[in-house]
Amino acid sequence: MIRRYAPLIAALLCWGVAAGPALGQMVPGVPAIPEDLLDFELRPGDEIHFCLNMSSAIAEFDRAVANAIADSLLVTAEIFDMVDVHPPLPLDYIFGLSPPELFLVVTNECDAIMGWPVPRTGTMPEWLTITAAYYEAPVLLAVRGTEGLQPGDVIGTRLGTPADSQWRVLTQSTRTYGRLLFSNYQRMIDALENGDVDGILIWEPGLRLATGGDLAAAGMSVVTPPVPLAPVRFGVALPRNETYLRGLIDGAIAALVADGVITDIARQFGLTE
Amino acid sequence: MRSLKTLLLGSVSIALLATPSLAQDDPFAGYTPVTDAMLQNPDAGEWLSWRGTLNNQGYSPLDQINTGNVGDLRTAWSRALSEGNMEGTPLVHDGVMFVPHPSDVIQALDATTGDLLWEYRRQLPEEGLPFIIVTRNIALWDNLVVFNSKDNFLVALDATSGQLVWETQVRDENSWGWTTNGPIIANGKAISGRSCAQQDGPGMYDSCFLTAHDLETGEELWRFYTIPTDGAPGDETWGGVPNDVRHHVGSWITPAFDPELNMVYFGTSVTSPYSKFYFANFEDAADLEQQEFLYQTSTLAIDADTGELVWYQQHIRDQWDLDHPFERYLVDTAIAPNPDEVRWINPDLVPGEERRVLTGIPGKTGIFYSIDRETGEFLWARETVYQNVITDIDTSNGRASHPLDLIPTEIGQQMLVCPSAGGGKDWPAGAYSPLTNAIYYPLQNMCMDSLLTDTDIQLGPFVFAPGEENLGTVRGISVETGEELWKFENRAAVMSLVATGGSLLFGGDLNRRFRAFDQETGEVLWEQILPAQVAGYPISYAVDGRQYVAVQVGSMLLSGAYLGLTPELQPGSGGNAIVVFALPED
Repeated sequence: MIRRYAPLIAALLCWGVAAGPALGQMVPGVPAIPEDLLDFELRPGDEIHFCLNMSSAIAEFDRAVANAIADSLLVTAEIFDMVDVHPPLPLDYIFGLSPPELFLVVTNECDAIMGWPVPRTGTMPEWLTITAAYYEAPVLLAVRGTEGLQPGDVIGTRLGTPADSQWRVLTQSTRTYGRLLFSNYQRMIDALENGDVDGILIWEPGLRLATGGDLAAAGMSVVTPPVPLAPVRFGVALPRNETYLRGLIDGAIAALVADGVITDIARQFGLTE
Repeated sequence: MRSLKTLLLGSVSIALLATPSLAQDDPFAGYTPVTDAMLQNPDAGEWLSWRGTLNNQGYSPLDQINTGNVGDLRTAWSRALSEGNMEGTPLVHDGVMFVPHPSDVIQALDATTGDLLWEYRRQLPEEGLPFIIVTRNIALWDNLVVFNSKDNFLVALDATSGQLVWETQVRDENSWGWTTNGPIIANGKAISGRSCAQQDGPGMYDSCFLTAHDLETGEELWRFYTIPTDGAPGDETWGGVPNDVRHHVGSWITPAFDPELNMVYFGTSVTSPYSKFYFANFEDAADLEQQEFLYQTSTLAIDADTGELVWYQQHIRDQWDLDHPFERYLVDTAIAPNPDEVRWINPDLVPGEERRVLTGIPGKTGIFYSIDRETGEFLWARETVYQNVITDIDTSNGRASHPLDLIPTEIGQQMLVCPSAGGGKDWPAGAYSPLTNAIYYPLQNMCMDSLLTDTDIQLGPFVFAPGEENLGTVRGISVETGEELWKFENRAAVMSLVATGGSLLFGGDLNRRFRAFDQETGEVLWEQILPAQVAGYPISYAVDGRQYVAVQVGSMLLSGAYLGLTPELQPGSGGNAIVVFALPED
């Protein structure tokens, strides 16, 4: 956990000396403890404990980003690998733990959770706050061969993803294409290969992992979808009351993005830059 | 036999026997096997099942402690319990108390002192287990203590030593699920449901089912799937949704058993995602509102011998995580609902006729139902706490109607949904008293601001129900007339209850208060402040002619949701213990 109490105690001591003559008097309307002393500081050499979703296909990328965030703040990243008892969903980024379980993890094991999908609407769950995104993974429409979509084609989508919600809205309004739901990206890939669906919506790192980065060899291609598909954006999740640390990480992410550091890390891991 | 493993002591578990000193008698010398007859008609001083009796009434006939002397009640003993979330129920037989702790720890205690007799500590995998490790109840049969373990086994221990007798793997050890409830015992069978997968994954498909096991051998006798697939009855209600995205309709509270009808009554939870927007095929809100997705949010009457579905009634067609798994009360009573208070009455009902009913509040909505438990016929229903998810109930069959503006059909749609996903009613149980022919309920005045996001419905933040400032409310409802007998309001959320033959009702709250109410009036006759949140299911029992009242306190699920609305109350977390009360000895 971040080292919090030493700076607070030091600040209180300084305040006590400076306020010495006035001790024993309380001024109405003036807080007994100055508000700025309630802020915690992160100092060089401190640690930030990050939890890593080891079920995610980009877990190692997330690890590298966590280290970069810590480096930029002149602190050390301590990483807790969240290994779920259940085998991970292949090619995915979904957490294997439920929100209450994740709450216990972030309470007991770490300050922040890497790899949290940033919702386009709302905040889920309500006890979290999520930083700005440090990475956007494109969502692609992959088809067999090189043919584009034809009216009536059925597209496989992953339940619980923004792309699926977009596709459901599209198919409901235009009825040009079909939609077949999956809860497992590997089964979607299999269904595409088997001809059970004509195309699939899949996040780019998942498709890259499934095909070894060689779509043509896998007999697939990517075509332009009829609607722009929102990318999956990943941020850092923290408990809602961690406003101080969130501010620091937000600042670090902004700097790492602006300096091209995250682009370099993405390139190292073969991800779209 | 399916995946039956009979293992001797030491391979996967640790049983610690507290050896009595030479001067002590063997505490189990007088311990008698628990028979089905005893379970179906227990002695007054015993607490043999989760709710005392198999009809889930939560009633003890003991009357040594009564309205006249409850003010003299004192702590008889208390004892610390293991860490973790706990919402447990002790059982008592022949002077021995069996206590479930978090993390699959079971202890046998001297019920008069709390002294340890033995302890079983299951060896769970060190990493990666689900963190929700509540065990709400265990069961007794013959010389066995039976429970559902967190690693998906049904486990039987020797009641006199804590040693493992047999264990049967019920579900793939990789299968996601929180089995927080124990079995009910139905003529030599352990019957139970369980939570099940919220998402896909190896071992998770087909993880939603009820089971019966032979208590002699541990062999599985039948299995009933709570999500029908592949042409089974009810499959058509899913509108062609692929099997592998049908998730999460489980049964996470212990059922009731009627030995005469030989039927077990389960309640079920909801789908995942909760909102059907994400997976249903629908034209508009009116179309989606009609879709059932069986057997979510239903009462299921199951033949105890065969596992066949005899009848079912679906209470709501959920979109908002309003589970319906809670305790069903089996009561034989005259039925004469008062139309001044009871909003929905079956027109064919003959006022005053005797019925064998399944009654009470089965789900988070707080709606109180009366159903003929032999046929499934809807008799009557009424509201309790404020709710806005049901606009009407068809009085001929119990089918609910839902407001179309609360059917999520558009991303970004905002809704105030009442009650919240934490109730209304939730896992804290009520209690029935034959003295008043009423069920008393701990309920919460809570709603939730909901939002349809692009991945799931956001259920919260939780807010007070309109016009309410007190979160908790205890209400008595007549099972004959449906009339509300009284209502007690409380700032803190209120927890489980037990009714006794002394015309008392015991129950606590999140702010550490444990109270005795007068069943007739709701007057608080006695109150104690305990060390921690009153988290468990209280019971009453007697040993050597002395009546006791026991309750577990400490950490539990849901407390954060409740305490968030009453921030001035700071009862603290932890402090797991069992506290036992009795009148002073002469």
